[in-house]
Amino acid sequence: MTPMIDVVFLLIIFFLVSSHLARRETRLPVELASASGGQLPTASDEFATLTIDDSGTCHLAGQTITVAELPRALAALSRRGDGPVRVRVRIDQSLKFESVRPILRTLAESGVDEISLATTPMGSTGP
Amino acid sequence: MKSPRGAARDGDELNLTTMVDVVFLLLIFFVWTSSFDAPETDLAGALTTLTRDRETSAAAGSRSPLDQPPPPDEIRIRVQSAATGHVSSVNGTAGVSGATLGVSGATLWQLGSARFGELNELLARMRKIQVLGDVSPVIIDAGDDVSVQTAIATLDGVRGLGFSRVAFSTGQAAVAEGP
Repeated sequence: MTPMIDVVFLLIIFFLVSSHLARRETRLPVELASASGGQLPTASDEFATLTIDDSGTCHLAGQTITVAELPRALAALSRRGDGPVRVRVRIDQSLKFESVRPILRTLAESGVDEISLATTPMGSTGP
Repeated sequence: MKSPRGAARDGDELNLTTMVDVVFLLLIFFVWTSSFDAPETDLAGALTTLTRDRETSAAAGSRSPLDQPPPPDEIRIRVQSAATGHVSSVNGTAGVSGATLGVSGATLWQLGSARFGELNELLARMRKIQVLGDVSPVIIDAGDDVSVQTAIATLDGVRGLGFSRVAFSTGQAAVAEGP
């Protein structure tokens, strides 16, 4: 009986850990800008996470994607859900706006006009 | 592990091996699932494709949702890097800011015809506008050389004043327009 419980425990832990890793895959390491007015995300499943790393490369839901492929991917996501897809954008703070603007414009042209900007909470240095 | 014989009957013995097994498993579980990442917060923002040549795009039937109702007055904030182009030559006071935000290079905020070298100066002006009850959408037009940190700090500051609709302009940059 004891070995069986051991094995079952191991399986449970394996599945928990692997699902945990799969969820964290969307949190690619980027240096986020700091802001004082941000709110902790609530239901993260409603968002598609678009990460723009310090080289300007886009990652949608953990997969590298080009700007040209972005509208199609967003359309596929919105077909899967009910309404227009909500996008959470994680942008490396060191990027210049000129490399971000085409991506944001593509988002806007794909019907995404409300975004969520991922930031790190700032202390009391706000205005 | 060898347990002392005779201290208790066999059935009452605490089986240390199993307990250590379980404790190890729990230890591994908590170590693997604990997160050392800094928490991330979400800042609500908006995007607009409106540019300064909005009249032409509206005439051509722009798809932007902001174009559907008659366009309200908007407050447009230009954020530019003071190091680029003609702006620094026009405004002698540029070159003050940047350090407070931890951003290299000075930044210049422009609201209407007023220019500000510090974000706090811009926010003080915006607060006056907000006190007057103006709830127009705010559009942040960030220039090419402006860092994302500066653009987001501007959006964060303006939102903190109570402006609910703050959008990034994704149209043509103000810097790209000739003097």
